[in-house]
Parts: sequence; structure tokens; C-alpha cells
Amino acid sequence: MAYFWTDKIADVTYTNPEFDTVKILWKDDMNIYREHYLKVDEEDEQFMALLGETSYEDIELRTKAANDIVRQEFRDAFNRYAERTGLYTGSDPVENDTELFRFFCNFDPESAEDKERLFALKLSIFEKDEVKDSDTSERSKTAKTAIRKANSPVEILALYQVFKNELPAEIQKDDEGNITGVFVPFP
Amino acid sequence: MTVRTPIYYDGTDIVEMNATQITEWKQYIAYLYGTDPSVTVTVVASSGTLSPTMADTRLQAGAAITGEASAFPAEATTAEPSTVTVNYDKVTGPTYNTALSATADTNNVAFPAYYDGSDIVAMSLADYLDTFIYATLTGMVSASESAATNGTYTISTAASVANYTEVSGSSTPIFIDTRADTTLYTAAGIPETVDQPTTITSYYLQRRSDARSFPSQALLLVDTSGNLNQVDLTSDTSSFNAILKNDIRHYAAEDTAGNKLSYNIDGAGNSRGSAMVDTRLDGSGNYQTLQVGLDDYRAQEFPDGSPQTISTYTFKITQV
Repeated sequence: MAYFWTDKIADVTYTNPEFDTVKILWKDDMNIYREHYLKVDEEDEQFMALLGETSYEDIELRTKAANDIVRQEFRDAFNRYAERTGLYTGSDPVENDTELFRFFCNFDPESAEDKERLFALKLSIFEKDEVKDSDTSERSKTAKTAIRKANSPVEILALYQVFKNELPAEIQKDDEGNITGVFVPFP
Repeated sequence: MTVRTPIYYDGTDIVEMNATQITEWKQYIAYLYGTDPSVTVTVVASSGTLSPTMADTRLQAGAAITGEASAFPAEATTAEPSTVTVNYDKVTGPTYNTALSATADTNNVAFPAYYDGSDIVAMSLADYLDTFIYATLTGMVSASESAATNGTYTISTAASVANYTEVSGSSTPIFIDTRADTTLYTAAGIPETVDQPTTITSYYLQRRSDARSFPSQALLLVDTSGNLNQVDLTSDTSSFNAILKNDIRHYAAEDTAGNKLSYNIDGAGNSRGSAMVDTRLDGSGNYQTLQVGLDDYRAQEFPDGSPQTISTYTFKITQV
């Protein structure tokens, strides 16, 4: 029994900020790299077989690495443009960070740029030691899944508190087990 | 459901088949099915019946503004990149061949023998179906593909794949994911052609078509005199193998007990091969300018951004 990619995987990454599709890069018998896509669906045999060869954590790490390369290329290109056109003038943090503040305070779920930044934030959170090295309890798994599916930066930051050791946050659920919020105590 | 363990003659004794030997038979039955599938999916030019229509979307540049006399047209006045949509509707099916009839259990000796704990007896029709036909059909709808899924369909990103036959016969993709080719848009070229796509991935419908491999051990049939006879191992058209082929084809297309094969896109069942994705750049426009003469200032917004998956279409196989 096999899939096209069985024992031939070169890379696996998410292909969108929603984390609902993965791209498997595999090498065929002619040494040609092929792309193979799968919906993230834990009821699908093929996706579960993929998780037998890799893991959510590994896919997140690989996605982050791929995005870092693209982001660095963009950063370099922007820096060259900014230096060329004299954009680097001010040092006022309020002015410089306006866009960042807006992202957290007025996240726009329809904006491609915001969705991409949200995706990057998720990857960044999964890179944190306390998340990466967290225990395998149901609580940690639930929080990780919720971060994966979070629809705003505030949700992500609230869920991140679950992994903090001092005054840990509490996940709150409804009768059907759906997460309704996170109680975050002040230190 | 009663799955029996068939018996065979090992040269000395009559013994029960092991799991590997039974698997060989199921793979052979799948092979027989694959030589002439009764549930088919085909590639058509348009108006395929396997819903939904799959949309490939891509960005195209906004229309250029040219001939401004004194200054470049402002970014706010240039047309934004827009989305081009190409719909793919090239798969028809599943189509069922319902011209076949099930094999009857004549004289209660039509089907292979097994040991019932005290005697060697022929399987009933129900036992035979559970042991060979339904078990093979269940294996055929697995997401994981092998000789046991012969005759069923999958999606590949290569036109030619070992152990598969490309269904259109002419390497016709059933879906093509395209994106704007940003390398083709240059300021010097303003006004650029607005739609300049490049193909990212083509997807092909394939049918599993492994070469034949005969089982290593012959099944035994009881005849009307009570004798045991070995079925022919080396001919697809021997009387019992012809029965197997007829029945796997019949029940695949007409079973009423939930074993009939079916295909869909994004419905129930196991994914087959690669999902088909529509990707698109997510930028809001790359504003570029060009001054051609003293009184010809130009501007245009080109596609830009990172590729994102917009839609994912999954081809699935199931039993109904």
C-alpha cells in the first residue's frame, strides 16, 4: 500500500494562512520534484498517513523556514527601495509601529496582508520554547489546535498564555467542548 | 457477513490459505476488474458531470494609463489588479455499466471450498461475496493505492506515472492552476498586456493499471460428484476466473448493499492522489511608471504578492 509520496518526501509545508492545505514536495523515480496537495483532514486516510511520516510541528517548522526565506527576500528588497528613496527618516515608535498596533487592535480578516501576518504570528508562537517543549497533555494539545485555527491575533496571544508557567491561563469551553475563551490572570 | 478462509492443495495436504495468499486473490480480482472497469470516470472537453465546477483564479494587471501630459497618473487613479477566473468542468462520471448479471449459485457448487470445522464444503453465494467480491471492493476504495486498487482512479501532477494509465489518452489536464507571471511585467513595457499567466501545476486523471500477477495457490471447487478440483491459475478466461471478473464488475456497478463504487469531488470518502489547488498572488498591486516622451507619462499596477491557496478540490472514492 502506498501513496505517490511514500518514502519520497522532500518537504511538507502549509500553503495558506488558514492552515487547511499542505503541499508535499516529493521526488519521483526520474529525480523530478513533484508537488502533491492534501486538505488537512483528520478523517482522511491519506492525510493521517502523512502524519505518520511527519507531524504538525514539523510542518509548521518547515513552513516557517520557507516563509522566512520569502520574508527575508522581501525585507531586503524593501530595504534597498527604502534606502534608495529616503524612507528611513523617523525614529518615533508610535509612528513606526502604527501598522503593528493596527494589526492587533483592528485586525482585518478580509485583508490578505493581515492574514499573512496572522499566519506568521502563529508560526512564531509555535517556535516559542514553552510551546515547542510543552507537555503532551490534552490541555496543551487543545491550545495548540486552537492556535492553529485562531482567527485573530488577540486569540493567539490569549491562547499563548496557556503555555506560560507563571499564573497559567485557563481554557474555557461550552457544553459541546468548543473553546469559548481563555481566562488570563494578571501577574 | 461471513468471510470464509478458502482452502488449497499444497501438494501433500489440503490446507487453509494464509492472509498473504488471500490478498493475492483479491489483487488478482482487482486486476480482472481493471481490465474492463464497470464504474468509469472520463475526461471531457466541458460540461462534465462530476460537480463542482473547479475555478482557477489569477491576478491580472490593471489597465495602464498612458498619455498624461504633465505628471505620472497617481496610484489612486490607476486600475487595481483584478481577478481572472477560468472554470474547469472536464470530468464526467461515475458512469455505471449495468449490463452485467450476477453469477447464480448453481447446484451449490459454483464457489470455492472451505473447511467448516468438520467438513469441506462449497461457499454459499453470500460467503463468496463477502470473502472475495466485497472484500476486494472494500480494498479498492482505500486512499492508499496498490495492485489492490486496480481499475480505480486518482489524480496526479504528472502526465505519466508508473502503474497508471492517463485517462484522456492525450495528456489533457482536468485542472490547471495558473498565476500571474510577475517576471513578465516590466515598467519599460507599459502598457503591459494585462493578463500574463504562467502554469503552476497541471492535474491529470489516472487509472490504476498494474500488470497481472496470478495468485500463487489455486482455489478448490467442489463438483456435483463431491470431488475437489483446482481452478485454473494461468488464464483470465477460465470458467472460475471469468466468474470473478463478471461479479466484481457487476457488484462494483450495481450492488445494493453499500458496496457500489462511486467518485466525487469534496464529498464523502477517501482522497485519491493529490488535491487540486487554486493558488493566487495576494498583493494589492505593484504601481509602476514610465515616461516615454515629454508629454506621455504612463502608469500601471502589476500583480504582486505571495502565492496563497484560495481553493482546494479533493477527488474522492467511496462506496454507496
